[in-house]
Amino acid sequence: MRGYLYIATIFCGLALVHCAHPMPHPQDTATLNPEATMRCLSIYPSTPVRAVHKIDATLPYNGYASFIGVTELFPLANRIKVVLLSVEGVVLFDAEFQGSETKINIALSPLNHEDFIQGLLGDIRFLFLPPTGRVTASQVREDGHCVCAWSDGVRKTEIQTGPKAVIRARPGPKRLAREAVLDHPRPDGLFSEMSLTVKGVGGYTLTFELLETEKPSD
Amino acid sequence: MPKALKKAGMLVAACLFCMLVSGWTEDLKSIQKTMSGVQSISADVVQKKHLKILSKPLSSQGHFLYQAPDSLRWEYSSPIKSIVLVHAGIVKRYVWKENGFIEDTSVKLEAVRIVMGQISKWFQGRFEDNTDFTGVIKPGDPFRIVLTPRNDTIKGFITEVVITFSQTPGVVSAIEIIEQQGTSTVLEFHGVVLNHPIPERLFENVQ
Repeated sequence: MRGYLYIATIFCGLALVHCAHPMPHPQDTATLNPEATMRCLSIYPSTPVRAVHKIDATLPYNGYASFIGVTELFPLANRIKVVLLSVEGVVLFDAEFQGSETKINIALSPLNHEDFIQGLLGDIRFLFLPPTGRVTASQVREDGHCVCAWSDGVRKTEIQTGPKAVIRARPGPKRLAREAVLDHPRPDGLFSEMSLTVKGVGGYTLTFELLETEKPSD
Repeated sequence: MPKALKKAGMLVAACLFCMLVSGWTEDLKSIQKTMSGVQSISADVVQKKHLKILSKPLSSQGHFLYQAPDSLRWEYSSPIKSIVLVHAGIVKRYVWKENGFIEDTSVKLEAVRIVMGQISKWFQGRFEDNTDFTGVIKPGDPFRIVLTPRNDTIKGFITEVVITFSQTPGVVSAIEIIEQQGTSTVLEFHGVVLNHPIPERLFENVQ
């Protein structure tokens, strides 16, 4: 059972983050700056794109795993397709997400576990889709970079632009659930390197190295 | 040498080759017998992963070592530098991380273990006594064997496996693993060297 949980933990996500310098908390009372909001949202792809990543997962108990991930994004339709492969090319997971709907095409055990699917969905949305809810703060800092915050009533998402973009998800004022650092931005809206750290018991870090991209036909 | 004698010699050689080739591909038992003569293989591998989601296949390169009866060393040089070792029934994968190889625990996934375990059986020609796949001979040039999964676990991720043989009897030139959802993996073996001694340590650890 422990082995099963361990392997399931390996797959509890697909996202990117990387800890950089500390991000000041935008205050909810701060003036909303539309330009800052736009710049914060510019870290997400705005047009359809398909990406192949090398994904390295650093897991609890010194666990480590590498995968190949293929992600297809249709930002305007709020649609994402994702395929996870082993290094040898075995398709481990294949699914499509649109809005709140999830269609699982392939999910080999233990990746068919509901916790894994929800964790993966959460990580992908966190990395590739703008936050939901309302903007509660957006400002241009003295150094010219922007900080913004969104709240959906339950969770707060913070975005910081800069040489490395940072996204943080907070389920409470002092708590950090996910943190992503996106490095080396590209013209297609993707980043060449990303890392995602998921905090808490069974937390893990996923690093993404962009291998190749394509433009989806539809 | 007179022309007629030269022609006759070539005809005899051709006949012998045909007899040899047609003989070893007669049935699964003959194939296994021929392939049992292959004690080791060293080859470069090109892996092409076809996915419905991608317009062109994902390509990986590496090197492959096989030692009868069931030892494998599969070393990928790109896009992910990694090594899979199969030895004494144990499957391990190591991935390059910064300054060295570290063990990758995801190889414990059942699907990966099954595929790696099967590959050594296929290189031994164990198609008749394979409890996981049914083998059917497809005569022709190139000569092929088509394997279909017997059990539901494997059916869950493999639809069919096509093994293509080279002109050298008993030597596999390509393996195509056909999965679900328009997905397949093609492994092409190049620069094959047979029965060259391979140190056992290469199957035991990454160094």
